[in-house]
Amino acid sequence: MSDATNVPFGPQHPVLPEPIQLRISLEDENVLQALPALGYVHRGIEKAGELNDFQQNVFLVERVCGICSSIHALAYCLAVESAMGLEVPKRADYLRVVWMELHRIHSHLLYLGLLAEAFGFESMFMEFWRIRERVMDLLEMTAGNRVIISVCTIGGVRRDIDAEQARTIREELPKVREEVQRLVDALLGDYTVKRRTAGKGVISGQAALDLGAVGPTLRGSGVAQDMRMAGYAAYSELQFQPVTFPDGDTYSRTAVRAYEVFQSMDLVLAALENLPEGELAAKFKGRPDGAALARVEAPRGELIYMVVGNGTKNLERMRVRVPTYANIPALLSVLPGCEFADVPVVTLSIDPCISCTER
Amino acid sequence: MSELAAVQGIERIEDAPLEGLLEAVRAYRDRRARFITATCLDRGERFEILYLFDEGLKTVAVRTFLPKGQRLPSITGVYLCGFLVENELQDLFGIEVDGLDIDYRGKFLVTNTFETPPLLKQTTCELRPTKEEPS
Repeated sequence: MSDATNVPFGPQHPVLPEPIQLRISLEDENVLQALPALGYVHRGIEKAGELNDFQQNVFLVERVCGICSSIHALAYCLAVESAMGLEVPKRADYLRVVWMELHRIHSHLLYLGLLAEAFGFESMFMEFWRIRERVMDLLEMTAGNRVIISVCTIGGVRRDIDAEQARTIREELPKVREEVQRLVDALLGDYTVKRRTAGKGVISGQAALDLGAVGPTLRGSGVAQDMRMAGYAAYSELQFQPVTFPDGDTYSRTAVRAYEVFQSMDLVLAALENLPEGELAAKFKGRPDGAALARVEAPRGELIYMVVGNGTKNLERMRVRVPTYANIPALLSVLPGCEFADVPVVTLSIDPCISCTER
Repeated sequence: MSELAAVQGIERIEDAPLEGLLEAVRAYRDRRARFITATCLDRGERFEILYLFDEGLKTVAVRTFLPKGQRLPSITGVYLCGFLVENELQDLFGIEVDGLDIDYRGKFLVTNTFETPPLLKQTTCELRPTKEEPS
């Protein structure tokens, strides 16, 4: 590889909202190898999770990621609840689904906007993000905040959704769906988009599994695996089939996210339709004394929290495995053979979240 | 410090001696299990390390114990994607991994600002002192 040209891609790059560097070796315009360089935003959150009170950690883990913040809180709460043997009230389970799916919608709309921007579709980028604001408004209306919504607590949820708010969501989501549908049709049907994404960064289903890929990266290779199928929260009681696309390329990964937006809207509406009456959170005494692992489906894929309690207010260990971490090997495997001009779009197609990855 | 008796959410934990670790991991690869991650706990004189796998949405694990000061064999020859977490073990626990395919030599996530690896129990952290307000 002595004749190769080495190009640092990142840590600051227009398609990277957060810092990561890919050290890319090129022969002419073709990528020979890519290696990641991380460590720009490592914050030591796993260590902080051992120093805080286990109840304070709910607010800490929400700050692991600015996009799927409440899903981190949910995964952490599920792990602690499992370690303590707590049973969450049904209403809290359904409310959790509503907020988690609203988060997924705004995360996927964020991705679709960023992807449009990556190949120069500025108007489409702004349209996706304009629509995303309407979902953020729903989060603000129901939780009092847009991103760090702090609704999950150990044993249930901290807030309720009243009938008036539920009616607003039921009225607003079909309008959002109509607008997203118009944009998704334009995005996925566009000749230029297909030329820039179809057949780019291809990974087969088996290779994706072998490399530990998760979420839309895995489902975009035709593998129907989604942690919501395991039935945590209220997913076991809602109709749910994962969205898959078979081709394993950037187009398929994008299409999975686009159609998951509609699926998430259906799940929000179904959860509101079937929202049972009851308590918001289980009361509990004591401290976690045992170990538990929780796996949930964040927008970018499987998110894992493992907690080890020792009967004190501090955890012995808090382990976080985020989806981007699992998708980096798949990204590194698809870049060799790509043209250098495709690297930004292919990199973006795993929807990398570096804030999550480094914790 | 005692080892984990059971972990809620993990269907089965299979213990493997250090010398049999790769064989145990390879058995999961042969069954087409997806490697999820590895998790390490500082148990005083040794590390307790769990390698987690997905088998049809169920979590299963291989556990090994590594005496401090000994080297851990790398699983990257079996699951290449393990290189990220093994580099993390080097950074955060100071474990030296043998045969790591892509080795960042302890500089993957952290720089040399820590005197001891940050996730060791002996490493204590203090809040950064607040800056004095300008008078």
